[in-house]
Amino acid sequence: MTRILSLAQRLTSPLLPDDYLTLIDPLLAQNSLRGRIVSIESHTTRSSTIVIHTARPVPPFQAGQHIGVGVDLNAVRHWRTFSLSGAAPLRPTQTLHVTVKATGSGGVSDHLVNHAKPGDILFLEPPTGEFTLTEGGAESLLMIAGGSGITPLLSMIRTLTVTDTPPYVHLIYSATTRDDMVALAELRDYANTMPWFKLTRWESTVQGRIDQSALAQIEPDWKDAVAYVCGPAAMLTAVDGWWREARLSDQLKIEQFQTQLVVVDGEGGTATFSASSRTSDAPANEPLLTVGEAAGVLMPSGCRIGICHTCVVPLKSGKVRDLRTGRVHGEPDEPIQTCINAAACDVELDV
Amino acid sequence: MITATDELMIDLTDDRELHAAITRDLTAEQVDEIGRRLDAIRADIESDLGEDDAAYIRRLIRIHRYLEISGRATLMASILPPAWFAGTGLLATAKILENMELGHNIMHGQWDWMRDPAIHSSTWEWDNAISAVDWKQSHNDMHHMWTNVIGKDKDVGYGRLRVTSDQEWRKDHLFQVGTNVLIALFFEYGISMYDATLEEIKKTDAPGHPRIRALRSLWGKVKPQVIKDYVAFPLLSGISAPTTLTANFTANVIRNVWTHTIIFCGHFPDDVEYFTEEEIEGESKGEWYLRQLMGSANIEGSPLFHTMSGNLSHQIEHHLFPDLPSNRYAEIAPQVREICLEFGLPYTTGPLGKQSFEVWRSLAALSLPDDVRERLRIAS
Repeated sequence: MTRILSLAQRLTSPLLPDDYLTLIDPLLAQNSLRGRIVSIESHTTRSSTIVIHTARPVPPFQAGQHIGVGVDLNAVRHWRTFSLSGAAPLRPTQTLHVTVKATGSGGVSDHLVNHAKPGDILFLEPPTGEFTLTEGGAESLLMIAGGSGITPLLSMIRTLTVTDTPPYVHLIYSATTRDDMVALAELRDYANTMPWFKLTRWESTVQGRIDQSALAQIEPDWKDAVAYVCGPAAMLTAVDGWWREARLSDQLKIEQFQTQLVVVDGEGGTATFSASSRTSDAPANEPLLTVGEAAGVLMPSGCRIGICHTCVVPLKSGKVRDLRTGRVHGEPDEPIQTCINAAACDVELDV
Repeated sequence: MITATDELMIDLTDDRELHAAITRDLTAEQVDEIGRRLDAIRADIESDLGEDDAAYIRRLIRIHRYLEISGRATLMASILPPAWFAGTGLLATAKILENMELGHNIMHGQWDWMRDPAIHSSTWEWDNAISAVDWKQSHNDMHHMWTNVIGKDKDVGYGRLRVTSDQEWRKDHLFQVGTNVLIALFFEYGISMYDATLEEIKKTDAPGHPRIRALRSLWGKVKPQVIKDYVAFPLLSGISAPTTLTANFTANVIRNVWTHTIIFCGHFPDDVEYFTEEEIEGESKGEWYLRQLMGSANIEGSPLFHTMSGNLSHQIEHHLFPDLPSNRYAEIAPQVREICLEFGLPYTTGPLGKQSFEVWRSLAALSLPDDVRERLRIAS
């Protein structure tokens, strides 16, 4: 196939065979991954599971990993990262599930929940991510989900339901109300039929936020388990503190879905995007990603909150400030995440 | 400032005072006001870009690809004269669209706002002898930044032609009408060779003659296209091989002559003005706009003509806003013209025949030294 394509490229030069193949079907693109929406299942008015058929098989992903999804909104391409919510496959697969919650901001999530329909083409980045079940791991797992943070955990639980010897799993599922909990019927079904799985629901509008004593009541053996936690930043910060206090940080795995950027005072500088021959003012509190996009640079981007590393580009010179922590860093040729770093002085990026 | 028409008169009176300020008799406030008005036109368009614009460029891209495929396919039977003519026409049209409305404009970044990597200035490559990277440097930077500044904008005569009497006369200018015919026929090679040679001359310590080195770097870019047009597709045509080769050559020449014509009519008709480096030193944004206005000329025509010229028939609007999508120049043009009318600024435009005639007439006139021209009373 590659051979045929490289021969074909002789005839299409300077265009690529892709440029002609996509005339026939956008899914024939060889240089990028695309998929078609097969079906959409609405859970609540604000969340849906999108089933995607990818144009070609993707390597078997691990439960807890995420993909980049790109859509054109008013003709401008936007990217966001979503956890895969289906069970991890054993072989390469062409079917991916993402469970999406609308945020009301008019972005990719809202589009997928409110406007997308079966047959639509999605631009995709293949699965990646470190928040995964470890092989031959612990005997007992404690999972804590906050709101839409359920999605990677859902993938893990679904994967475990089809393994031979699943560990003991206790899922604490917190959401504002019961109506906001996706896949609740399925999870209750597991709890009723699978002896290794326990489900505790927590409605934060009624019960308030989970605190440390509540946790100890719900799961007295929490210190013996390996914990997987995914949810809003405030929840993760609290959880991180409890485990740190118990000196059990190495038993805690966290996936952060919303990032609170620390706005810091500073000078900023001029950002030079050398490969694109563009320069722009880069304020101290604006991510270099949006600075570049505003200047018309084709910036790689993904989650925009510092998780997925799709937006990484090499820093040629200068220093950047991590907007989450305020830390100033940057060595020549250091790959930096542009979505959570702002210019700390004049910077040059190789993009 | 001098125009090609009143140049002779000034020459006779005082040829030390060739250049006035860009701003003529406008006040600083008026220049700022013009700048603000033009900025507002840009902001209006930018905030209005959306689905319709995206649909336009994607449709053009599809049209180009279908034209290219049908042209190449028709030429498989190019041994039959009707197929040769039809195939050559389709292919030439495809190549013109690809170079002008697609390549030129996409590489200007006119469509970068869509963030589609397939239609982006940083990824686009075109069917031309000069590589996208080199062209963007010499065109987007040197030509658009330094429009019509003699000694800076290499497009002012491409080092070969004398297009304004502000340029010194050389002996080889005597033959410049013939030179320009050759440049028109092989425009893509002329431009790329010129740029490549200038680049190589800069590398003073590199071994070998700069022109040989330029040829070598040029070959790196043109090789795939030469193989495609003159080896691969003729071979695929089997019995039609020789006629497909001549058809491809003809299509390339048609493309070259067309792009040459449009580009020359954009900057070299009468009434277009040229500048010196001293004149523009420290110019403001408003003055930069004025220089773009006075250094460019439009060509009047139908919507199809505008598309086939890559909307470079709206050369003035393109020079004011090089990175606004080309499909918007037509709606901007009346607004720009109104500003020109209000402030008494020139807005050079005319049909293709007239503009083209002026270009060739000036070239012929300027091929003579100024003192000879004066004695013969030939205006340029």
